Amino acid sequence: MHKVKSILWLVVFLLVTVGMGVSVWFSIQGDAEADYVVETNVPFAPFEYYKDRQIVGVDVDIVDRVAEKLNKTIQIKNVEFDVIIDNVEAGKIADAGAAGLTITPARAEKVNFTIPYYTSVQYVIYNREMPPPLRDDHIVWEALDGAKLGSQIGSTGYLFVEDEIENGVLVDTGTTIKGIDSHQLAADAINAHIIDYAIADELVAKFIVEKNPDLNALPLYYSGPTREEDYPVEESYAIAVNREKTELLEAFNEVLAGMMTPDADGKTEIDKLVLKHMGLTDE
Amino acid sequence: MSDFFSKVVELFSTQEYIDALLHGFLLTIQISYFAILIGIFLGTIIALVDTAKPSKWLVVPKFICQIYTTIIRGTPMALQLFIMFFVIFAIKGFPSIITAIIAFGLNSAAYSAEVIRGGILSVDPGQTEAGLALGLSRRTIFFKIVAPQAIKNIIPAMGNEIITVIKETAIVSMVGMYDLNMAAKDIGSGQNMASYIVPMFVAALFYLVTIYLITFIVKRVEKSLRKSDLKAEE
Repeated sequence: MHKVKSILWLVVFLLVTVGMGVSVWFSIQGDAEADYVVETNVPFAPFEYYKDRQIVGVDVDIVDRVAEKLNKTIQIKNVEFDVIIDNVEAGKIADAGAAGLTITPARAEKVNFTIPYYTSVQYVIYNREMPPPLRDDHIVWEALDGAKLGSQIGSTGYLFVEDEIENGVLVDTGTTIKGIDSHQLAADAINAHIIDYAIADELVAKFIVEKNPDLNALPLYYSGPTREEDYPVEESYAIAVNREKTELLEAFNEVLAGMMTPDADGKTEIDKLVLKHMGLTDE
Repeated sequence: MSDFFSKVVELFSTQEYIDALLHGFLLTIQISYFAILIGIFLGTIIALVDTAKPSKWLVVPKFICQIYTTIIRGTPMALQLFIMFFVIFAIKGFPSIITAIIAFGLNSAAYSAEVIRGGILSVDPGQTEAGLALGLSRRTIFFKIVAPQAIKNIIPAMGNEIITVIKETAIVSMVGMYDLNMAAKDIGSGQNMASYIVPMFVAALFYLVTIYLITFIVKRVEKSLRKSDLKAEE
């Protein structure tokens, strides 16, 4: 009886192990070696987000077109945002990075950037009950004086704030910036009173406030000599490509140039894709 | 608060979110299962080498095992995972699930080794000496006298290690893998529910139920092994 029982347990164990092995084997099938690997950071809707566990978005559409043009396979991989540039520079596990990356001098020293394909503005997300001093429809840097800010670590918003604290209008004001795992978590951190305001890219901020009625977001401006002359904190997205992969850089540039040519209605393909992935058009 | 519950209802009534959680859960279980198997297998080898009678053949293996457990137990799992992904297995097209299984398996092996070693050492050496005095071979003494008692002491601590591995796999979302934790992040992200709080609670519930089940099984196994003890006391 004892023997029968232990054999039964052994059979159960083997069946479970084989079953698990088969399920792992199936999940590996998608990892087949591709000609190029492009790294991204999900979620950053509408540029990259999960849909039924597949990474989709504007950046993915761009990459797909490049793959089609080169007639090669390109794999998209999700990694932490702040390792993308280093991985692309090393070129060992990634050939390019498409993650709504803003061109900054420090980044441009490590990788080649394609032509910029989208211009974004930084937004300040805040709780409606505790807004920073507003200037009508925007917020200037000076209004953030002494605040506890938060942003996705390594993101442009984070870098911009760091810059202002070190040698900009926020020097010696006691303003702090906290690097948080994702833009979404930064927004959650406002309601948890961990930070006062979150800094995020325009489209991301809009997504967040749309579903959180207690939050609101307004663009961040540099203050000009008069209120009318304030100008927004802009940035341009581009794709980072490894220094040695010139053929990939050229292909990206050609595809992007094509996608940025306005059609008869004055809209570029990139604009249309942004609207599509934001769920604003039916396409 | 009513907002919280309405969001819980929204999550459980959206097919897409449930699918995401179940797929994430599958990956968590896949990684944990194989990592634990590797951990127990390697851990047993390390523990046996470590507790074996000193001899000149075992000087180097013993030293390697000690270095291994020291390094693995002395560094955070998150950093080990990072090194595995970005240094050791920095190979294009290498399946990330395999990297994760190896990373967690190697980590678990060091802890399992300590658990197993503790179990073996908990058996009074006097028993081994008595066995030797009776003229039994070392092999017979280990398998018939030491091992059965050691296993009884190992099971509860091993259950603890299994639980730890399952919960610790949550950090694979750090390297972009779609596990239960990442599913919660996905559901909580801007284009979905745009708040991490409710999905995180639900993911926590998934972990809690799984671990409760495992605790239950381990307790049952423990009880059945202790049957002989109770008889002796009667």
